[in-house]
Amino acid sequence: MTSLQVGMLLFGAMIALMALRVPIAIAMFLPGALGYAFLANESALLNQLKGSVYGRLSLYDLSVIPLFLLMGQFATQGGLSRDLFRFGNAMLGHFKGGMAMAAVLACAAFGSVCGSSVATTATIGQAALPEMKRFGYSGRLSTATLAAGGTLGILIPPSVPLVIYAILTEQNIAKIFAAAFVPGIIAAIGYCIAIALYVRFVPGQAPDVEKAAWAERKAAIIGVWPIGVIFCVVFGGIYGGFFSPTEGAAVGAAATFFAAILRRELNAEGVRRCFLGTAETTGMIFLIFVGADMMNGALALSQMPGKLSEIITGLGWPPLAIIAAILGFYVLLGCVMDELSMILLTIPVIFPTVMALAPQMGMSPTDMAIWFGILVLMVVEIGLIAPPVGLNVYVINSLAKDVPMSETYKGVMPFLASDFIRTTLILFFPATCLWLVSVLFK
Amino acid sequence: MGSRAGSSGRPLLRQKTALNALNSPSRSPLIPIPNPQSPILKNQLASLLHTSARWLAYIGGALLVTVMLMSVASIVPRALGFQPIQGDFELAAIGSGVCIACFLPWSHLRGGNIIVDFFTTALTKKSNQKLDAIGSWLLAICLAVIAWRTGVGTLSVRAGNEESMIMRLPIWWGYAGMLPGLALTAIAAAWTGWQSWLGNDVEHHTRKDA
Repeated sequence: MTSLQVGMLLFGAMIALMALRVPIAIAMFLPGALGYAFLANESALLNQLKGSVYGRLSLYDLSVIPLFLLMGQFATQGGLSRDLFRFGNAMLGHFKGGMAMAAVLACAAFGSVCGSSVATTATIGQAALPEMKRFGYSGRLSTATLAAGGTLGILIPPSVPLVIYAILTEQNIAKIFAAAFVPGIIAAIGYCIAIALYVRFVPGQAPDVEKAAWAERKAAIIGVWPIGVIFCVVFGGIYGGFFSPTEGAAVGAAATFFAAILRRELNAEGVRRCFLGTAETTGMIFLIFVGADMMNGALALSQMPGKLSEIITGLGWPPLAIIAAILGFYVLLGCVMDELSMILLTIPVIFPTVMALAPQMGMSPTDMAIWFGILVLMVVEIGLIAPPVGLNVYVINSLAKDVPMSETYKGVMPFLASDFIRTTLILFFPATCLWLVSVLFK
Repeated sequence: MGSRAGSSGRPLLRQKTALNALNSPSRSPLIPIPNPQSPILKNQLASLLHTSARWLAYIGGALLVTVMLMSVASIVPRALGFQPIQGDFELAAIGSGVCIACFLPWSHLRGGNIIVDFFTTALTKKSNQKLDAIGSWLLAICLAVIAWRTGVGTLSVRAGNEESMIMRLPIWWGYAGMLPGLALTAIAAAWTGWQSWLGNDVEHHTRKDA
């Protein structure tokens, strides 16, 4: 069999197992292990397994993931979301649709201490949904805003998918976080513009509101300063070269913990809940890691990634077209596959191809890797809110049971349009993400 | 909130999860041969599994907090210009490895192992449950193999006296610390598979956080 055939066979087996409701981690692990045993031999497989799981779970760079998840849990249980939403509302409430923009702002701010989109959607949703309903926002606009706003949780650093991408491609986590920052701000502004246009052209989605008083704004700022401080300390520390991302996550988690304690929002029961919540998500992520490792080990043995790279670059397409095609493929794959597994599984396969394009694009390998990582993250975001299975839409649907999911999907459309415009912008202007990296890492 | 192992031999009860459906207390604890269909065994097993998984997750959480505090403690003296703790990252790496392994059983019992339900929506609930059972058992087998190999790895690393670069920590501690988590995940998956096969509800997440 040629290496390409072996690779296809492994992929096919994986998709078949997934379709039969086998847990994704195992759908990757099993064909991977069998392929490994077939391509090398059984004793090589058994030898590999002696240390591979330990090696994966006890990687210093990866310990940033449970720490950032713990930080997000502390922020969630610590009741910071209400204050964030109040703050956003005091700042933007005087625009038509301002409360929806406030929710976007709150999501962006919460994303600066939380690395997961589902947690952001659920947390800000709990605070913002009842208020928006009370003030007469349509279910369509309010649920769609929160589903889309939640994706800012993974775009604005910290971000779990970006950590995973950085580790898979051996890039500097701090650099990738810096690269996501400007696109994150563009995203938040883009979402606010989408809301403004939507409430202007579609009647009956948002009420008219009055201007907020300055006193109210001052009071709202007092409620949110801890988040601002934590964000500045964590990322100031990382970019100032004072500590590694893992240490930054540790400092952030500790600071969020103390902020929650000082606000008297966190008791022993709450801490236990934080542990269990962290355990649930961490366990899930790392089991997928173990499965993807096995699969990628087998794919590497089959030399399929290299062959694929040769074939694709041999097509003679312009590099931008190839990148766009890869992103399109990701959008399609994201319709049936979980976004995290998608990254873990496909990045090692597709990355050599992407890197082979760097000279043609006139970019350094590092720049290319960072830029592509941000593009992949954009596509992941689209996958989180796009039909048929947008995870964030499910999450918000479980909070707002009175709004049918089809309504949310209708409301998501302007946000998706904004996502597509931003992705195109970054595709054609890599400087949007690389500029800040070049400023911070001279 | 949780259940404790009672000394009275009464069934271990009161779980906050979907297991409430299984909690039909029986008053006859003295059954000579355990019958797999017995509600007592189901309750005890269910309860024992959930309690141990939850406590293991607490242990993992405590470890993570330790890693967190240690990292903070290593920054403070460095920021003030003192000599930092040498090689603290090795402790952090080993600690978080053990912590993650401790998280795995709870994650599985909470349905943290994502499945794709996109292609099987047309099937009956019963067929889906049978597929889930097979999926869980495959997971159990894989985790059992991983636990076994990591156990073998523990012995060989210990025999080889492998130590970390700077702090000279015995590496086999990290390997050994992962074994309870890995083994319990295999057992928990075998159990959830069995429950699905019998047609009882187990928790599922179809797609999870990215």
